Amino acid sequence: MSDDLPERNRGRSRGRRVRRWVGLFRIAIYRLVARLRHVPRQTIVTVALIAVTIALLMIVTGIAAGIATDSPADSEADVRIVPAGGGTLSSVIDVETARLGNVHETSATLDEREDVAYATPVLVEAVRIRVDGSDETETVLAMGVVPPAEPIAIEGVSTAPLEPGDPHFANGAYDGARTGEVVLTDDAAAAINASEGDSLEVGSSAAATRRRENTGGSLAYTATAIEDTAANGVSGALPIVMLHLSELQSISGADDDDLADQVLVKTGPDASTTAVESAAADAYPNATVQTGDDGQLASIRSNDFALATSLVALIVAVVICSLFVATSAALTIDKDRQTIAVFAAIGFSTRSRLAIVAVTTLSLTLAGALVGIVLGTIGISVTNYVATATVAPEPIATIRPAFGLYAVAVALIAGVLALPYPLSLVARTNVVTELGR
Amino acid sequence: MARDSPPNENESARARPISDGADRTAAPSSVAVRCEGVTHEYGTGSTASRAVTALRDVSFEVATGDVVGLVGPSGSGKSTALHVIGGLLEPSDGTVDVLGTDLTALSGAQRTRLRRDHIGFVFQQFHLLPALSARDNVALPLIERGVARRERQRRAAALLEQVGLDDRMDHLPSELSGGEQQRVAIARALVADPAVVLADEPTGELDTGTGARVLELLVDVADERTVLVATHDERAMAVTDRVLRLLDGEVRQTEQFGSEQ
Repeated sequence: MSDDLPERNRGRSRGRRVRRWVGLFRIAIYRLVARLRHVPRQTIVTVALIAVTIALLMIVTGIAAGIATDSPADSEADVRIVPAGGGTLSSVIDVETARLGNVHETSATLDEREDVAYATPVLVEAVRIRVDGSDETETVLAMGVVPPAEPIAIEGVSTAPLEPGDPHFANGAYDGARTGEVVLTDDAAAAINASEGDSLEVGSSAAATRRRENTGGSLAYTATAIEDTAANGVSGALPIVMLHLSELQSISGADDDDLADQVLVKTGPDASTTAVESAAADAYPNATVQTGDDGQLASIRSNDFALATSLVALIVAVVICSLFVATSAALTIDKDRQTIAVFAAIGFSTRSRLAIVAVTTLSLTLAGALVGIVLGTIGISVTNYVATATVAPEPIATIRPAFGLYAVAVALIAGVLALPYPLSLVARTNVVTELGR
Repeated sequence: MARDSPPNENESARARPISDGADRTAAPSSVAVRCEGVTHEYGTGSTASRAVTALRDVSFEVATGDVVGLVGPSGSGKSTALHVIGGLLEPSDGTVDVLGTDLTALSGAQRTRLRRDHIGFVFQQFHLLPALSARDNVALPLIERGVARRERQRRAAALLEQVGLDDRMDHLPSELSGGEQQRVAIARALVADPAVVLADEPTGELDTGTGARVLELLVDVADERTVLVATHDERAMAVTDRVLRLLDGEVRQTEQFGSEQ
């Protein structure tokens, strides 16, 4: 029985402590309500400033997350081989830039490696295209690829509708069976008013001459599929078509040396990028081997960029929030020193007084964060509406449930960082002076 | 009266020795408050050239259960004496003994604990929290003692009933008259069942009639507690057992009622 006494006393002491903290918490909330009642303008301004900061943080983070989503971790290639001095979009900008040669054989060699999931050359050419018999001709960007057995997406366009391999290449003879398959993005399809299954004419004026010489002008293409680019996350309203590499080479004249603009290499699930990078460098000693998001197109959409943006937003939000909270709390305490002195006079310990002020301050910050989450959600919707109505083909900012927790956490961190100043004012309050005021 | 509540686990703080590691008298004493040679100067240190001596070698004793008035004009040192006895100020010199504990030997935190457990304060400006109802204001000191909310509310209600405000429990201070606010303040000072009550100009903000009634109420509900009332109101003498007259920080005269001066 006597052994139970210390345990019982400990339990009572713990109970007292819990009741005390619950009571202090209630006082803090009462004080916040009273503050809203007695100095509504100052309180509302503080909450509004915190809310706006948090809302801006959410919008910037939403845009950053949108950018990151646009550049998924499982991008189309871990390693890109591009000509030295060339780049992903070089052919669009300047047709005379260097290209890689002998790409079918080299890609096949890389593709055979166990640590490579697939390797495909990509030739990018501007071509003219129209529905057979139509007068509506459009210039579109054509991507020539060697579709792997397992379909992949290149620039958001899936290779699934294309027959795997490149039968027309025929080991460099370019006399194999032509598939005539063309995948159009919906923008390209809309531009020429094409539907799935339509017969198409593809070529440039110069290439068309050559083609007629080579094949007697009997070439026929079919719109195998229309890709929904919005669903695939392709940015920009650029009309794109995809077809087999050798067939595009034949159209553009790149078949002379089996040319392509780059070779995309995806490493196997557990394979080392370094080994593949080394193999790529061996295959093209004079080319540039880029890994991850080094590519020009990827770099502007990379996760690093998104991370940097959201980090800057985070730091700015924390600093601004802290300053708002610290200033507001200090102003309030300056008016409220007498109450703090009364707490001291009726026996509240310094720790309890500090706790009351801390909880009041953090509650104010939390209120700002909650309003900020609402404003941020609205802000993201407005941002997306404005963006899609003006420059962007699709929403540029995303919103996720985790943003709410993130906003609350950021606001609380800012609140905690702001605490030392108001708490030092509380600790320095001269009880006797304040009681006699 | 406030002592009517039965002791419970929340009261264990009162049952403990009143100080942790502080000097303690060897035997229980009938003296609740003892000041010996207490001097206090404001503005020492960096502002020493402008130092003001608020108390000058003040010595007196207050027996347990006595109601003592500290009477004197403004600036005579009455409030300073109360602040020193309440542990809000550490005197520049001398010793202050409250319930057998030398306050000058205690740290600030220990003095706060002693205040929480054994001393009740009544202020001239009431100092009620505007956001809290009368009942919550009265219950405030019990929060620091870790008393359960229901018990806090029960004891606050009982005390408000005692001071005649049973129909004002849920009113905010702004909805109460000055006299009612001071009665709430008196209830708050007594809710933790302190042995010593210190009232600093409790009638200063009230009209004559209300002030007199509040003083009578204070002494009445304080029952057998030791009460020190600092006032410049000569009529306060009517409710005290003894009056200490202060002038320029010194005790000039002691008047004992019901016996020779």
